Amino acid sequence: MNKSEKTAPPFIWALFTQLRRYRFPLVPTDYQALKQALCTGFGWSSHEELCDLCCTLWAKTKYEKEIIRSLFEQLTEQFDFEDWNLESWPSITLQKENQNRKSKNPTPYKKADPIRMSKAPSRLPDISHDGVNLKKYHHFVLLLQHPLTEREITQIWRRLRQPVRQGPPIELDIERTIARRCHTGIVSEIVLVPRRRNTAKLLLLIDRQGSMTPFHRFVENVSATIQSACKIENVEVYYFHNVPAEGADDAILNIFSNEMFPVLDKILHKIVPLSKGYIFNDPNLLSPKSVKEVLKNHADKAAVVLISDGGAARGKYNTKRLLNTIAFFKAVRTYTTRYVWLNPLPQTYWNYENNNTAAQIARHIPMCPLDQSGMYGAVNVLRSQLYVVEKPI
Amino acid sequence: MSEDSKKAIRLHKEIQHKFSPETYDLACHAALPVALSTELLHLIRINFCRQCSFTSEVDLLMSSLCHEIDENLYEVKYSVRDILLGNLLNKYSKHRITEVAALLLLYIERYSPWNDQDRLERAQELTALNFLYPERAENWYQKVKEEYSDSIEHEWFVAVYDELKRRYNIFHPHISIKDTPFKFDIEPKSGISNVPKTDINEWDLLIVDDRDAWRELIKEILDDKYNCDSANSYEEAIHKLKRRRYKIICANLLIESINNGRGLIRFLNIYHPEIPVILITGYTNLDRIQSNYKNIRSILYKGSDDFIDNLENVISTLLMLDYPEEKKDQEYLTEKNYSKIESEITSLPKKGKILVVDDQQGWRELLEDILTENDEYYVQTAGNLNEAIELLESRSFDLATIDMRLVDASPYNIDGMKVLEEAKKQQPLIKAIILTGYPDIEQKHKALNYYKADGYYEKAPDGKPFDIDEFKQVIYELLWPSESQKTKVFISCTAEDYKIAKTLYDDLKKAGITPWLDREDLLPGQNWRETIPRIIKASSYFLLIISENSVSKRGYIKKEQKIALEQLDELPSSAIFIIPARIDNAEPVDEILQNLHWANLSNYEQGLKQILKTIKSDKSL
Repeated sequence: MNKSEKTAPPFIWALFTQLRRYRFPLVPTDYQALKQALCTGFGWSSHEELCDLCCTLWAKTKYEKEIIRSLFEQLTEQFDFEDWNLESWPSITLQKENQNRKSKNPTPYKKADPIRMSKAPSRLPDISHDGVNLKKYHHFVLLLQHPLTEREITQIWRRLRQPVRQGPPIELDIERTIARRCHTGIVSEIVLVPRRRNTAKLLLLIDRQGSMTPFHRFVENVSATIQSACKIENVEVYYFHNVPAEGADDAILNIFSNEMFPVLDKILHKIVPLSKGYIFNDPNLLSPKSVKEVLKNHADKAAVVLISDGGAARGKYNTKRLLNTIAFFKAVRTYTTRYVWLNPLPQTYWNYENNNTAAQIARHIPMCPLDQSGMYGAVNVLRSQLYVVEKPI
Repeated sequence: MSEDSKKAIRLHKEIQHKFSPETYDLACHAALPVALSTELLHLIRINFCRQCSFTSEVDLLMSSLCHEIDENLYEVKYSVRDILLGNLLNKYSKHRITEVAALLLLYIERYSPWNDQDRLERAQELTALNFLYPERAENWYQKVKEEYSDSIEHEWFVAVYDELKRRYNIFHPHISIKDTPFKFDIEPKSGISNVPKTDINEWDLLIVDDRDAWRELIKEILDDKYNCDSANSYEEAIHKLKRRRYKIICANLLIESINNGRGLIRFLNIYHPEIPVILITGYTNLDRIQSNYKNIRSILYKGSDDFIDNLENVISTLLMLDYPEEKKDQEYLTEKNYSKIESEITSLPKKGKILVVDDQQGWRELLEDILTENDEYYVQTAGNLNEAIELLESRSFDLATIDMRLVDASPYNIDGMKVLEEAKKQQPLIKAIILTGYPDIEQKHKALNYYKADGYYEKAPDGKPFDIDEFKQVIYELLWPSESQKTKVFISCTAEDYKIAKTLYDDLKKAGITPWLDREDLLPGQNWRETIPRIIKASSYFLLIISENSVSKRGYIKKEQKIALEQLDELPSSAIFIIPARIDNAEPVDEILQNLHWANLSNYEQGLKQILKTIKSDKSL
């Protein structure tokens, strides 16, 4: 097995280190495991099989597999396989098998074409990339790295549970069975209960465009993970721009005409719930749905999460936006008290030292940063744990 | 140096102040591509600037350095890109620049982000190639130029061609880095700004901002064209305003705190309404205050892209328009003149100046709000002993409301007493009211008798809420005793009966009573429609002179009667308020007036005696 040192493809180590930069929970034993697998003859028939092997050993989810695959392709593209090729497999014993496999799989590994969509015909010639050698830049990471991995998001959001026994009784209730048998004194029938199911409902409202543009990919990732991996019964996602509902009566702001940064505490009780306007079904904000309908159908007794920077990215103070936001949350409150605001910017952008809309919103509505501990806190709020805001609405 | 490169240097300086060193580093890297997508910037960060946090991307894209030119497409301001790239070159090496170019190319190959935007993609590719393989970029360009000359004029890369060529030259190994045009002189021009200007009394501009960076930046921008002076605090600004004369004030709104900035604007609004003020602020949504302060001519947002251009425009416009010739001839305000004007303003009848001292922001704001709600008083607030003393030293006040405890948490203090002592010492005429949430008989005694406070009020008397109207009434009576206490007899008459009214007025005065007669006591400029009802309400007696004229005539006298009758209504039935005095045989139309016994002034001496008897029978006098 000493040969494994030599025979392991050189880019595998690069792949391993890059995956660690992607915060894959990989330790040297994992690398060792791959080398062992190679030594016992796995993964030599084709690039694809090698890639599959890496995925099997190192990836836990579909998303992680995707990352491994794309990095793998990227690396094999960039490496010159001078001292390593598929035929250089040292073990003679498995040569045959390999050849069999090869014959089964006649199409040898082919470099995947870069994703190029058809272009509108242009009169100008393409800029030729032939002879442009970018191989020495192979160490560049070309995959986006989100501040949170899918794994971290999943772990946090799994805590949002509302277990209810539902469906056919199939689970044995030992306690009650024993109790019944003790009570009757005979071997009576066992007691079955339905299985527990997570009936948590979640309404996810996501701010799009404008100052949220830099967060699009990250927030998409968070929302997709929550939808797919977190075992929440019903996740509804809607999108909006800046504020979900607009058109609160701003006549009540008139008493602040003298103030530059009016604090709405004084008129908080006068703000009426607002569910006018439209939010959207799609991230490009094209298919509108009435806010009222959405709240009625999806917010009732559900957890409501709003992801927006609340104006913290540009650091502006907009009283109307604040008013509309509070009015909207008052409307949410008529359906559920479990709501929380996730801000993709860290708390330093919207704490009490700042004078922007988000900082004011955080005085009225539970706001957590969209990071690991922040989301943990947010799920706590949604689990109805006490969260003290300065001026509750 | 051209106008463009000057602007670029300014903007560059601005972002250097604004960004953290890590974010600035990222900006240097991001200057290479023609345009940025959020993904590209992200890749640049994770490959080259790993010490930056995720938020640096946001800071950069949202700053004035970047234009949003399309959805998810940002352009680093063209003019600053050279400086940023130059700094990148100086800090790292040529190698780093080629690396960034390679990343750009790899990104395009892998993601084809601009597939539907041919021109942009070509421009990006050419930019990258120009750093990696300059001769290829040049060849392609020449080829296209020859063969497709008619269709290239709309091409993005043509616009940047000169730039590309220049960069190629810069990074070409034959030229040493030291000689590159990147070595802009971005140090402040020390020679100009150090010219002593102490002898100048005529200044164009006063810049007030507590942030050194902004103050210096603005000063540097405008120093070539204008005489600029700067102040870093409200106090310094006022100090300078007392000695020097400015054409324009350019003030930040938030100096240390909102109140201070606003205080300055108020101050200017009162004392220097002729000086236009440009408000600079980092926050938006302030248009509403512009209407409250007539002297604010413009509000500029620090964050906006064209802040500097706007500032220059506004200043040049203001200097042309808003500086009438006669103002120039006016003697500028020396210290002496200043206090004279100040005392003139102090003597103006209707606006009292009140100092509110309270450690709790909420109370400060509440008191400020209720006292300014009808524009009745000028209010300044102080949150602690030192602020209060500073204000007392720099301005005169008519009244101070002082919170006894200026630190509520244990160990609390009673600095309020010190403020009171200081106030009475500095300004003996000041009226002081102690307000406290922690009533204490001993302190009350001391405040009222020893320090001569004029009132001692509890914020929550016996657990009841604070009565705003009552409190205002107290202040009103303290400030305008002439109206509320001494004015005892309001004389109501028509113009025709003025002669007899005047005689009566003088005789009452001689008898030690304070009469009030509109022609005598109404001050010029006072709004009589508002003043008269207030004085009637504050009077002890309403002396109505009844004559043929007053009965038959319609006019304001009827209104006065009506107010007096309303007032009478509120008094117990035995009370005497209206004293009708008849000078001829006329009889009042009003039934209530008919029922009142009148004094007969047709026999003046006897009538006067009757009136005096009525008034003097009131023991309270």
